[in-house]
Amino acid sequence: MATTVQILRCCTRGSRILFQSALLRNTSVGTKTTFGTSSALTNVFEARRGPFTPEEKRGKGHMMSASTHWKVERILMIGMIPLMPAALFYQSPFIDHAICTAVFLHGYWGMDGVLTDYLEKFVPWVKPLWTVLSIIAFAGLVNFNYNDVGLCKAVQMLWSM
Amino acid sequence: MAMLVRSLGMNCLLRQKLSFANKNVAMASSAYDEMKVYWDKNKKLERPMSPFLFAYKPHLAMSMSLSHRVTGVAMSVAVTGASIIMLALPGDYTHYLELVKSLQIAPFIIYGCKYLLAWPISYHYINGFRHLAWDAGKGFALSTLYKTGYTAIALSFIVASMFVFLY
Repeated sequence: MATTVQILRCCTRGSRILFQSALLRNTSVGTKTTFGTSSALTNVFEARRGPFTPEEKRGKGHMMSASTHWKVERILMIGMIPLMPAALFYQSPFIDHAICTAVFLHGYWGMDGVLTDYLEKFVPWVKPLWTVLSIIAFAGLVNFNYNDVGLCKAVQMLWSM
Repeated sequence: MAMLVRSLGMNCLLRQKLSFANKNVAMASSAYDEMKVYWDKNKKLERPMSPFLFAYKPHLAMSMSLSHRVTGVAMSVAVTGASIIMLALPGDYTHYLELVKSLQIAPFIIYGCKYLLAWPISYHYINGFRHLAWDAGKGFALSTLYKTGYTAIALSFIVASMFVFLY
């Protein structure tokens, strides 16, 4: 009788200890900055997968909120709808520049999403690399429009083969 | 018997306090480090991964979404690569086009290349309309999805053929 009472007491004490230590474990891991031993410099090459602070979740390092970025992407897409058929009917340097800018921006944001989905967790530095590459490409496009035949004329010449 | 049970209770159940406290202090590594340990161990043991992508039979919505992404990435890479190469190479566009013309490529290869250039644009453009409709919240019903999907595929081939043969 006494032993069963004691066992039961141990059980409740054990479960209370479990509960208390679970609480303790949550708070201790949460308050400690458990970002490992990497400094700020190596973070560029080491993909961070969490835990993320509430400020980061609210988008601390970003220029605009994600929903605004999404809206700008869709506005660009809607703007591109009339632009592409217009290039079939009106060829001019203005259309050249408009198409180059629109295609560049759309492609840059699209590839950004693809890289974030698939590649960034394995190779954390692809996003800055893609930014640099696409800026060089845009410079090439502007140069092409300015110093060379221009996009519409180039497509016409290519198609006449 | 009672002494045995009491000693068990004293030694095992009441000692749990210590081991739990130890566990709290040991968790100083980050999630990144723990994931790294997990992946290193499993790679070393060469354990098979459970099927994740190829376990599904490809249906229309998945294939069209994949093609939309693939054509977009391909066009982006092509435009970026072409403009960087044009920046790097010395001559201008007319010069290189003359070079390609002098190769006297067979007509069917030229038609094939024109299709290769025209179809991604037309497919991505027409499927883009479906994506914009979904973003506006319309056209998610499965029958609508399939109808618009087959229409988009057919239209993309028709428009690409128009580009190749009429221009």
